[in-house]
Amino acid sequence: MMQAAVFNHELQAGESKQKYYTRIHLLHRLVHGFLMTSFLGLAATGMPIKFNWAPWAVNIAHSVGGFGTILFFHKFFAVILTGCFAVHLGYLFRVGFMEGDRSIFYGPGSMVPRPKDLFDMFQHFRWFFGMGEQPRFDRFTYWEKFDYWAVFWGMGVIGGSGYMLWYSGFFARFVSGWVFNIALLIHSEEALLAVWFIFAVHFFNGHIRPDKFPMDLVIFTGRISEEELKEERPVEHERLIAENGLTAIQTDAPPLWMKNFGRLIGFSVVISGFTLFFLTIWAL
Amino acid sequence: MATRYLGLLGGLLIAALTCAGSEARAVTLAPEVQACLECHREPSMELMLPSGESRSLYVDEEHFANSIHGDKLSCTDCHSDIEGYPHPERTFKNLREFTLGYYENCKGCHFDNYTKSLDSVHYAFLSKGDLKAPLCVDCHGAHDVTKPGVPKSQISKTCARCHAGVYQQYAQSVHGQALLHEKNGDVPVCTDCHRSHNIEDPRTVAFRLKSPEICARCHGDEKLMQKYNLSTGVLQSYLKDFHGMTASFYSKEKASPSALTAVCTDCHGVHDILSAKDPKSSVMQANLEKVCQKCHPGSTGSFPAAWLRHYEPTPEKAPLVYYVKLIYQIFIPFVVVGLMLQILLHIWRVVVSR
Repeated sequence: MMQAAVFNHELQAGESKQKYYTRIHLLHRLVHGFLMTSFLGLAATGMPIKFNWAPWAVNIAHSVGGFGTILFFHKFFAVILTGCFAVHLGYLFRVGFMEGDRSIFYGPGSMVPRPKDLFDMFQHFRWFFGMGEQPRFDRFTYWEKFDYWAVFWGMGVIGGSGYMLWYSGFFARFVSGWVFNIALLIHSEEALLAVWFIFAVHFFNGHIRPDKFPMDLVIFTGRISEEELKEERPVEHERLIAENGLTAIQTDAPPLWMKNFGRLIGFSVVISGFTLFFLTIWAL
Repeated sequence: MATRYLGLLGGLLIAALTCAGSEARAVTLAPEVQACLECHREPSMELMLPSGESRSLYVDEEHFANSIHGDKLSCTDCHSDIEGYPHPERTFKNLREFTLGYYENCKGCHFDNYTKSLDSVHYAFLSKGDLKAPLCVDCHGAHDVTKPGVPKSQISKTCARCHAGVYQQYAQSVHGQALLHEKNGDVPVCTDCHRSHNIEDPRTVAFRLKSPEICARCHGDEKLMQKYNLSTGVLQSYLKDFHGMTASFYSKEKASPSALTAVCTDCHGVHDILSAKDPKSSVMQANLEKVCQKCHPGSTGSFPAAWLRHYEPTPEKAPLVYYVKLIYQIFIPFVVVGLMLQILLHIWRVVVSR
């Protein structure tokens, strides 16, 4: 009954009449899901090791069987995250080289920054201070691209240094010992940056940006409404109309179970993430 | 006549006092002790044991009088099973059994140290049936108990009676040399690290993991280390590095860790520890590779460079570590605060525009 009532309410709100378009494909949603889970796991097991003197760190470690155990889980999640990275790189290779769609590297739908992003950023700040109009964004905003590259960079740097420490005996055959001191430092500091970035900046982006509060569900449903597309990404919307591409990506409204699933996952991760964010600040 | 006697008495008194001052305390033994000594001052007095060993029953009057108990105890305080003569019949198979028979007698007064000794590795051996494990009297003596640690080197020499090999190493070490040749009382003797009564088994993982704390008791003491121009930062710099950090994780574990990590003694040596400036020292640059290879087989000449040598990273020592750290300390807050400000500005704009 309850569910039906909510559903009816949403129907009455006119959502059924609204057109929906696919923004994020299932593969990317799945990769994001695994990425999110493994990142949270890595943060929850790595931060207690970094801040091992803090009482909460000892408690987290002991709740699963000690620091040795959390290091095991840390490596476990690291392998999953590495898998996500590999799948993503494989996707880029498939689309970019095998299917020959090079626009993935420079087009308007690409994650690679373009001059427009820099202008957008300046315009955005001008607008913040009431000195101009709001910039008209394309498929990805400049901060979304920053988000992407921050994670891309982080996976390379933290992952690379992490494997170096994991297999230090092997790497010691090729590099001098001082490299490990730097690797440890980079792994630890870069990880703290990643944790704060994801749990503060990325979560703010997904949850408290204007019109997104309390949560932008697009990463879980993959669907964006016509209204949102027009409002937030006008350049993409116009481009799709001009290219006659809108009908190709039109889809059904996100089902309620999917939205609730997204909400459940989203808020659980936000709570865990903010907890870790404050614990690490507290332990500084 | 009377004055002559008085003069003689006075002279004797002065002589006695001078003797007391220069030699040991002049202790008047209790009449009860004197009574026992009637028989036991006979040097040839001995007890033949079934094992064929003989046990001397002679008590050196002077030794006992000069012992720490000389003016405090009488014979039956310890030999409480004996009330008079003839003594009750006691049967000991051998010499060790004789000693063990009196083992519990110290606890009447020294209950504290007695209970501590029950936690010792020596007692663990004894309770497993190893009768060679030392008892109170084996270290302290029986009738000739003196204040322990006077002189300090006596402690290590006492342990050396059984642990001769370790003592040989210790005597060559930087600590042992200072103790034996310079009569330096600052250096540790056996009991400073191993304790005296509740001596722990030093071969356990738990002992390994807390051994840096033992070293740090002296090497973290600012006043003491200043005297020898040594740094007190060694524990902190150890704890911040690979090995120390791992050790501190392990020491927080309830279960024994599955892997081991290097503690002070793994690189510096234990009983044979030398000054880090000694060319023969295991931590000397030239010898370091060998030390690393103990745990990292196959590590090459550049491997020891991973170790920051107890130096805090500074622009002079380990500049790379120092600058990478510094850059992150600026970069991280800059990025996080900057990006959050951007989000807050965005929200603020939308709110004021409404």
